[in-house]
Amino acid sequence: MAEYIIKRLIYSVLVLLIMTTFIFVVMRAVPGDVVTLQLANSGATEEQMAALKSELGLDKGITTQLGEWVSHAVQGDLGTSLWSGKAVSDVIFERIPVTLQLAVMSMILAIIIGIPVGVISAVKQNTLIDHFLRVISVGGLSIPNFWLGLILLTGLSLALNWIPPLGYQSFAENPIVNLQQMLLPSICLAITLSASIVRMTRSAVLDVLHSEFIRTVRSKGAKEWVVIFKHALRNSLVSVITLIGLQVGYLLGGTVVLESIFSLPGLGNLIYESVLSRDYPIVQAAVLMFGTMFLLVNLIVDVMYGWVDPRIRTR
Amino acid sequence: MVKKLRLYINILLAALLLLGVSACSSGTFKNTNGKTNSTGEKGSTEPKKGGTYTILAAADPDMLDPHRQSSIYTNSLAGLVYNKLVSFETGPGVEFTDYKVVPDLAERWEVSDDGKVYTFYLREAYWQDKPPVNGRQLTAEDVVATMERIINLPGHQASLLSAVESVKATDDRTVVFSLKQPFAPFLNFMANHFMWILPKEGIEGKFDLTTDMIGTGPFILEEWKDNVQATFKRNPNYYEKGKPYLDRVIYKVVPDQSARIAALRTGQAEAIGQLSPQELAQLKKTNPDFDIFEALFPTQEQVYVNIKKKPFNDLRVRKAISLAIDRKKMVDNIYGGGEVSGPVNPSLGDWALPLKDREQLMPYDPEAAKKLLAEAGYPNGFDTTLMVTDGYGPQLVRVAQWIAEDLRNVGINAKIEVVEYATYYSERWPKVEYDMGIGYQTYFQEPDEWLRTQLHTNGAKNWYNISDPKLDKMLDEQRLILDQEKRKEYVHDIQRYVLENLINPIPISTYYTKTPRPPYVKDSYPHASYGYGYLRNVWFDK
Repeated sequence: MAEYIIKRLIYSVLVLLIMTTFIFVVMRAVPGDVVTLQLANSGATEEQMAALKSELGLDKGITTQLGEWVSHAVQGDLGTSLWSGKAVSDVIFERIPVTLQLAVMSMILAIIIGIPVGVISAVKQNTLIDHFLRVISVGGLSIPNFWLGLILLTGLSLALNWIPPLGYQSFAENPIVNLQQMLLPSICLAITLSASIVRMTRSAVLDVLHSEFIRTVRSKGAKEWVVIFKHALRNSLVSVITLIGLQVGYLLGGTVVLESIFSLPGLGNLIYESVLSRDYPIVQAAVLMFGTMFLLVNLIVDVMYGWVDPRIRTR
Repeated sequence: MVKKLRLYINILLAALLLLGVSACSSGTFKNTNGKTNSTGEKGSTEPKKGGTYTILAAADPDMLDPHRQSSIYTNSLAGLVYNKLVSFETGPGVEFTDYKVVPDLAERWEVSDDGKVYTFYLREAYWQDKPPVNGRQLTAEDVVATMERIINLPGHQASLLSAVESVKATDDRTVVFSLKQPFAPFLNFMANHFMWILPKEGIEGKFDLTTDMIGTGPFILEEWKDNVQATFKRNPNYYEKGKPYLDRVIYKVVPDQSARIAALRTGQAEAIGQLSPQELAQLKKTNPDFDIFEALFPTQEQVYVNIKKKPFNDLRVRKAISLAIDRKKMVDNIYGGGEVSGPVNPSLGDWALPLKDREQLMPYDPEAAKKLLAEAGYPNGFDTTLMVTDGYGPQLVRVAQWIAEDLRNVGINAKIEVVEYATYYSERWPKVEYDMGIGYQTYFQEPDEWLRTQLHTNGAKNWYNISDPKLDKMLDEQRLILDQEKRKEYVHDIQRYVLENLINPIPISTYYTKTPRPPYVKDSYPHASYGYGYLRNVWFDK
């Protein structure tokens, strides 16, 4: 297992390297640059523009810039923002907790809703309850989460004359305000995610329920809940966990829009703004963080296979 | 961030964000409810102390240093903390479009007969009581240091001081500006929203101007949480005794317009900037008691053409484009009301051509347009592209669609090309990589900015390849006319000349911005220039 994890970690570093190089090149290929954006209106001379360009290190060749960036990044120096002059690592680490909390809360919510509903749907296959739950989950899959966010906000303000308090506060500063601010966006993200968990759980549990060893368990006289939870569900979890791992990408993507709707100062909001303003070092670092999170979650998922299914562990 | 853009974007302009690009400033011009905002039908008219005024904005400033940023976000906040030497008059009875220069930190000033020496006499004012400045008195040295800093930093501010030869303190309370030549826009430029006076300690690096502000203004910065909120409290030593009335001003970052509206509805905010006609109609249903203030947008849409390229090098073609556009109907339908614009935006009051002249010089006449096109050798029109960006929000794209439709009626087939904001603002527009384009201009505050910056051969924002020696001469001359009335007349002549002989960029319309305000907010008189300093007069009647 240790060897497996090390191998995966090496792959992950390679993936991150390719990803950052790709973003590095793409961002610079996009027309528009930060110097003109900052000075276009000012009547600054060509010399002043060139001076700012060289001050920001944007006058060098792209391979030189990339080389410098990678060698600094490896040493933990992610550079400074081209707009505010703040250290990129400070900016990023201020914002990561917001996005992480949002992602974790939505994931937990999605699991709490998704797995039990999926199991019920499978056990009550083709009954009215099953049909009802399946319709709901298709609905959940089809609703764009930003739309749900806007509807929730507008609806609450009209119906209850209430919306979550503005002005983000961290959980450590004020847990009650923080949870009020985080709950709605987490629900928006969790609904789509839980809908796919419901569908995956349902079909996986159904598959297992029809397999022969379940008949054996039943014929041994096991109670129904033991059959369902200890045998059917546990054996279905591998595919459900895989799905969750893959959905982390969706989850992180969803934070970009929802953080903006719910005024949360997170990484998603940051990446959106810095792409528009061509703040290359911030984009670069934020993409790196998103990539790392995605890879880490998938590594954890791989390790969890072994935990839920001993056969994988020993392979 | 978009902030930067809008910065969307506004970076310089109205942008922003971009992301929310469009901005939050607007003035009290007309109250559609028919009430004036200083006296409600009920309640007292005597200002009361207390209350927290919450502003919601699309983005946070990147930094708080107003001389390193021309963004609307930075400079709006600067108005709470800093003062200028002179400012623009605001208050009851003052039109939003008035640009009368009044004392701020300078209680009076003198101009030499040759117009080359300006002497400012400072009032007794004190810096806010925060280390390292610690509430000491404002001196002429602060002003000199500020001006030297502005001149030495690249940016629009420096160009506003290009006529200045030297700035000297002759005693503790007297500052003398010597100009290279007489310069008519000088006082207006000193009142410009980038001319904030900073304490010497900040300029010398004894505190960090990018993350803190210590000024002479009505409010003291208590805390700035990057991208969350900035909190300001009342300055007890502000030079206008008894003001401000509000305990606190809080600036919160709320990127989404629907979220801002929801917050206004639920009483979490006093100011959220302007609303579209549709949003306004929705809000009026649920909150009929809100006051709605209308004001002329401090800038305009302009259609511009690459004047070196065929067929746009032909004046008849440019005139035909202008004649083909039904400005009045467009602005009523898309913005819910506005005026035919002009080379100087009507938000500059009587520096702009009178409305009657504008309507007469830019009529809607598709038949005449067709005739001119035929004379120019395009009886069947031509194909072209019309560049626009969605960085300012969806309305401008709708305007582009409307104009393309109008042009089609006279045979010009303009394909709309939507360009991402940063590409638009830093590449395509400044480098003149377009046939036709449509966009908003910056919130210019002086006729010289509207005219010379855009239309002079060497203008900083002549992004149209314009070069007209006769016009250049006129633009240089108007700067030297110190008699305001005479200059005004000449500025009008220039605008007529521009509309008859150049008409590029083609002014389209200036719409009325509509800003909702809770009914208990009293004595709010904003100005088209950036800065929330007008909140010193605001109080809550509740």
